[in-house]
Amino acid sequence: MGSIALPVGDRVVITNQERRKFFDLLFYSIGIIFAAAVLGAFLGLLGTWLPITPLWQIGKVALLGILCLLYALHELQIVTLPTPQRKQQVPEKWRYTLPRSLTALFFGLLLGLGYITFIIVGTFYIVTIGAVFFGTPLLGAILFGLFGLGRASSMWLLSSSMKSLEQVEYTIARMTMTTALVHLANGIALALAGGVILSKLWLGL
Amino acid sequence: MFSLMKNQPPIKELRLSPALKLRRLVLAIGMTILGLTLAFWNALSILEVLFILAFLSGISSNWSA
Repeated sequence: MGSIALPVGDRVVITNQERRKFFDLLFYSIGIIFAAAVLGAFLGLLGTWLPITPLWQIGKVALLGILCLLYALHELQIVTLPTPQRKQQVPEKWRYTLPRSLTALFFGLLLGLGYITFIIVGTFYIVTIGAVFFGTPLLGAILFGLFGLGRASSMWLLSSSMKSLEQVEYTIARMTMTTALVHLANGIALALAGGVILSKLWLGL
Repeated sequence: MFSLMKNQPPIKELRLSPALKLRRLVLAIGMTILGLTLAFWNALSILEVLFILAFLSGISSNWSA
């Protein structure tokens, strides 16, 4: 993904590259948000087939809350939970065989689908379960659209700090070094979310 | 440069010491209690929580790069 945001060369080239970078990021963002929204809508559609019994209304809240807490412990590296995923990345050869903007769009589409590539944090599973349990297709699309927005918007921010080869390498190195902090932040957020969700059981849904 | 950006699995993290695990467990319990407290003030609904988690999950997913 870093290659999308890599301008190199002299001053004139940098200006052109900046324009290209903007469109690459735009196509990437469109792809990721669209694909994520489609995935969310599908998950929300699955949710409409779930039973609407009073017991299930309580059960799904309890289940989601408990899973939040368990995955919080997973993110905090206290326990290890299953993390089903394909463990693949976007096809690298596309970078050399397709036009840049098309590559950016296709990368976005694949990454937006989430389960096609690596899943970094357990929070994604909670969002998936939430989309099924509480979603309608529209709600699922909004929920996963936000996932796509988060992924795309942070790439815009990151790319703004990558104006040279050294800066790209520095940013990637910093990201690698801060992976543990990302898991910590997700663990904290999931524990907080688990508390909020479980409290709805006795506060009334 | 491209060797750095190649599609690679996430780096395996180091094992935590029991003391650090305990501190993190206390942190998790503290956050859960804070979550319970927030809910008593009706600060967040389940959907709002899911929206925040979805956005956070999106941001965090970039760390695969």
